[in-house]
Amino acid sequence: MTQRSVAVGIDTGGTFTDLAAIDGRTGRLAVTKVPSCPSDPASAPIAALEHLFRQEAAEAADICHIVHGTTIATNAILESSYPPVGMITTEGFRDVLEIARQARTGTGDDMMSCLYDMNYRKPAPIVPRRLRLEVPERVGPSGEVVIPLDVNAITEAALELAQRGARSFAICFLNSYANAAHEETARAAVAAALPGVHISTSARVLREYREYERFSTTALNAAATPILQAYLEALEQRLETAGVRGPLYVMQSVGGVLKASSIMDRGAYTVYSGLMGGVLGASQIARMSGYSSVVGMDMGGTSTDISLLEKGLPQITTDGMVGPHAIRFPMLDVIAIGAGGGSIGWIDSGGLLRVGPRSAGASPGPVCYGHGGTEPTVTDAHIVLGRLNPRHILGGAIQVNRGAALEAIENRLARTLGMGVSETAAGILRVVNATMLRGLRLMSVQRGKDPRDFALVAFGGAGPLHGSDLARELGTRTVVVPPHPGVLSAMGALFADVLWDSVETCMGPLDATILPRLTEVVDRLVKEGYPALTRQGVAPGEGRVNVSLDLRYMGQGYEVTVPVNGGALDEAALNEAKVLFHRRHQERYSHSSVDEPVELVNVRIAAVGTVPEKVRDPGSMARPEDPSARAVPVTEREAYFLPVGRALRCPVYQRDHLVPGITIKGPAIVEQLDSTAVINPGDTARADKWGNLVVSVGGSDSNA
Amino acid sequence: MLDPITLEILKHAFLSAAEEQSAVLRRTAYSRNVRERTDFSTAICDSRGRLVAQALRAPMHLGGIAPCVQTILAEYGDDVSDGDVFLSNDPYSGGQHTPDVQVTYPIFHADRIIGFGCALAHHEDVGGRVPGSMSTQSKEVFEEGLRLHHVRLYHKGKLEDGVSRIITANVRYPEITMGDLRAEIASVKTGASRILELVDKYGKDAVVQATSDLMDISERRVRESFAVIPPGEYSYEDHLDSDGLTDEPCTVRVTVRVTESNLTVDLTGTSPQGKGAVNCSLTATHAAVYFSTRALCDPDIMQNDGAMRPVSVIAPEGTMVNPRFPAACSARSTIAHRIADCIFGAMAEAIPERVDTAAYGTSPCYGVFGEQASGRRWLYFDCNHGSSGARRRYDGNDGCTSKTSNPQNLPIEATEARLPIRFIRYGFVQDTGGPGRRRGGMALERAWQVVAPGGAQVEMRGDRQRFPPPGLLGGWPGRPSRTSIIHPDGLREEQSSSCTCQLEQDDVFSIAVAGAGGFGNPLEREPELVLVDVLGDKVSVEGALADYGVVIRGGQIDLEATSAVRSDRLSVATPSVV
Repeated sequence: MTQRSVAVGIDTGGTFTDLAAIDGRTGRLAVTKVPSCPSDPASAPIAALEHLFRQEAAEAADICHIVHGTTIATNAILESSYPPVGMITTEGFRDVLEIARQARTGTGDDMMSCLYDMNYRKPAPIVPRRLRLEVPERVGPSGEVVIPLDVNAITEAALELAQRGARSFAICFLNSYANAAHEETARAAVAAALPGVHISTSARVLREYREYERFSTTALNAAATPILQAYLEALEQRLETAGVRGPLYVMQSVGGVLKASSIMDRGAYTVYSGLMGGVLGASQIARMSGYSSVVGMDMGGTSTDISLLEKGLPQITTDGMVGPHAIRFPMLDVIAIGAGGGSIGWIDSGGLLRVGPRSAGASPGPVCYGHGGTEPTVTDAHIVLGRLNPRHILGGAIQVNRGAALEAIENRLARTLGMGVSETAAGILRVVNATMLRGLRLMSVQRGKDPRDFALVAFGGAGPLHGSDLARELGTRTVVVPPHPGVLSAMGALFADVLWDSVETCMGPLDATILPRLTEVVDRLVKEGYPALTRQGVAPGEGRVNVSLDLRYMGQGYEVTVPVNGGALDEAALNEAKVLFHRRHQERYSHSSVDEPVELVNVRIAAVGTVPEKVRDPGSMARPEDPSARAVPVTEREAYFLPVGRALRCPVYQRDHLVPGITIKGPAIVEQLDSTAVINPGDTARADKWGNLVVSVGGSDSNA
Repeated sequence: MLDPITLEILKHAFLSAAEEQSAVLRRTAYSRNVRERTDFSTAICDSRGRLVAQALRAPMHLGGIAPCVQTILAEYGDDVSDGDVFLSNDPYSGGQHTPDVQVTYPIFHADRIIGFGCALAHHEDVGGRVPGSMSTQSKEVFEEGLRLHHVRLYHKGKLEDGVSRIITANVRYPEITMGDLRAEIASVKTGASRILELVDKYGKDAVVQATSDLMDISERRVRESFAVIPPGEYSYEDHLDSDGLTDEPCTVRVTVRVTESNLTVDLTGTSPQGKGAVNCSLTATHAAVYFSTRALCDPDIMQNDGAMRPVSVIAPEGTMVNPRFPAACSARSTIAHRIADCIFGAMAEAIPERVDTAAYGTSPCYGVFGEQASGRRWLYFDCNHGSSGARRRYDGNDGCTSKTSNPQNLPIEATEARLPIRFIRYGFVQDTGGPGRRRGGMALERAWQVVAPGGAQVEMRGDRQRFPPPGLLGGWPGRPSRTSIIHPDGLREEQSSSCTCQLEQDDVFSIAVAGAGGFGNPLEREPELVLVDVLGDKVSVEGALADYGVVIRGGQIDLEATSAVRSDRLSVATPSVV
């Protein structure tokens, strides 16, 4: 047991599967990147491990645990490639899922066009009407039975749905958050009629009021779970064959991890699994370098995901979406912008230069890759401007055809615009930055935050190419470029804790009258929490269960979550919660009314514990700074810098030559296998002992 | 003109400023209506009060913001100072209806106005005869609450205490009203800071130049969209169930004249102004016209003053679309929806791929008032939305707000947890979507009962019962709306679309909004699509035959019988043009 000291993080995305491994004894970090394999998804993580073994960075027997971020459930939902789901629901309410909330939805530019676009199409529901059947039953808002459940009708409906092709089941009854007995009886009846089939019941998935959101989350869970289950079972088997003995943990959308066996019936818990690793990585990296409040900017090929962490805590929302579907699990609050390295530059009918949202993606890819792409992309602009290596990138894995990129920008854009090629290429970058800036601003303003108080963590393959320019526009003084910007998600997974959370609606005025009911709910949930942690391998005494309450002013429709001491719930504790609620309401919404009655809506618990063998002390990763170290450029080239509006001859550094303690001055380019960073004139970049490159924009620095 | 790259960057920056205003307003607003139903809009205007950029929330607010700013400029002239905050809601002076209160904030740079930050929010109450300030039975605008005729709440940064006192004394929930006003003020100040940052960075001249260039570009693109419409005159008319007070049906008549790249919407022929509150203030009429004509164009065009220049509106005074002071006009949306339906109806043959067919009309809104034995009074207020109309290429969206509005529905469980209301049904009604080559959206029924002793009184405003949403280009109308009371003994009592009635305990109140209109000849609908609707019970086997001429047997299409039925019917019907 003691021999196993290597923790492995694996993040599978649509194009690449990334792996990061840290040896807890030596602090040695190893990373690999292999192509993902959509036709046999479990093979990519194994290939990444084999790559690690070949590097002789670790052996299978050394692995203490693997933490995995996966987009398998997300992709299944976005691509509608899940087994047909059958829904059994309360008589009279077959259409709740399809009606949804009725507003036309979209964000940013999409919002614009969806309102004016008479050809707008509402997204199809997860379960088509043909596969939604009603049964006689009804429970009232206090949990009272209004119409008893007809069990025979359940069996008939289940068999009928199976006959119509349903392979997974969602049972969604009105008010089941107040009394789940009918759903439980129905679950047993469906299980008896169709042994072995997956069944999600709405109160087990999400014991929270608001029927559409609960039904939608349950339907998503029923759709995603069989896919996730099959995948994780296959992966565990292959890991065993490969000789890995440590457990497999899976990253949840809310940030913590659970063992694969525990998350298998909660498929919808993993929809942001992949994203979360990067955010945790960004948080950890920045904290090590002394920044606790950061904006994370993960810029990939087709999109940029923006997140915000204050004092190390990611912003969490319970109002999330997967594609067009509502999902009410707590999850990372992220703004996705349709702008990335592959975004295509084009001229609209008004004559303006636009970039995205259409992307050349991995195939055909940018023009300069020579894989058939003909439309100029953001990557092509970087190549033309000398910001990206004009001969080859990804350590030589991709040969670059700069001439083709030049020609495409010249012929397709510059001529029509009546501008030079460099000017046009710089224009592509300035426009894509303007798009991202909108998202960055919105993320901070929506939360009432000033972006100048945050450090920007620029990651993803393309992030460090844009980070310094965006920071300048935002007024942010510091950019942190992690050691391996392209595999940060895999690395972030290594820093995650075990998190098991649960919610139950318990509505009523927050005063002494609710205490008996509230105490019963809290005691029950807390009692479930500790064994749950033990099942995750958390040693007794190493975990804790946090209780919080969703509160609101009586009659309002939105809640604010405040922590309470779950051990001693009495009137005094409720009063403290009330005081805290007023304060948080003031912080978040700029007003509060201490005289207004406060109402309890939900009880939430979060059982948190440390993954055994977790790399507890990232200090082992530190390398001493060497004040005498000097940076030696590998070469020089002409590169275009946006703040000065022209090309400058500048040094090009190899990232792994920048040992801790080295400071370089812009203008400069820093190249590495998975990314390239641009350091503007007037900026300085220091490699710190954690391997981060900390860029001080305009020469100054502010420790946030 | 600035270069096309700087313009694109500044376009994002202007939109970003409007969006940030929106984010601040939503985050700091007090009322449920603003925060949850997002019944608000924000915008940036230039120094002449022309729209530069807006954050899209409620389509009907569009076109309503700039006229207020222009009125302020006209009425105050040079007497506008840095730190002034103007309030406007007067439907007879640039506003739409009294609950929509606009906050306008001049942005000063070097002692000169360079633009305005604007926010408009629908307030839950602005005083007047009834709570919420809106009743179709109001006869004069004086019944609809306090009119704020571009008054200054702040002058040179200082609160005008008198104005504040007048407001708080004349509205029913002063904390909510003042809370929402504070949020609107925070919002417009954010917009102002952003614009000033842009001026610092790009220089005042470039920013001003960009606003006018972007307007010119939008104007050109809208004209290009209009230029592909065959020149000519296109007319359409449709009717409303009533004016809110009397039982007389009313007519909205639209003539669209297209000449090269200009478009005129002439509403001559529309009924004289109504006696109740079903009247549309001129600004609201303009907003409905600008929205609809803009929707005829490429959706990608930036909405600003330039996009409205190619459109002119003729709305004769004294009609429902331009009532004379002091007619009540809080139910302006009933007419606004119909203006949009008529414009699309008129243009259907000319540009069929850009229109959608009539949806369910205005969203029926109702208040249910009851008193429990304890003496506690309760109020349940709700609006029902239905489905949208068919398009040339696509069916209507089942369960989707219609074009001119975009709010959310109210969750059933949230309602039941708070009120003595129990829902019986919320779902689509079979065979109600207007048949067509593309089917109109389904009628949506929301039925509930009062479960407390004493029952309750219902006040409701609706439409589309006498005049169902018509189809286009051979499409059939959707099923009319239906409002009924179903007593515990099963007896069904039909109600008119706007009604006041008493419910006893356990009576079921059922509102089914109208099904939306179909597009194209239903006999040309692909039988496979009819089968999908039959398998999902949206269309019955009988409906498939009667409406679409499709024969379904044992869950499958009988192709032979279908083509026999269809060719039989086609030989007597006029073929559709699409």
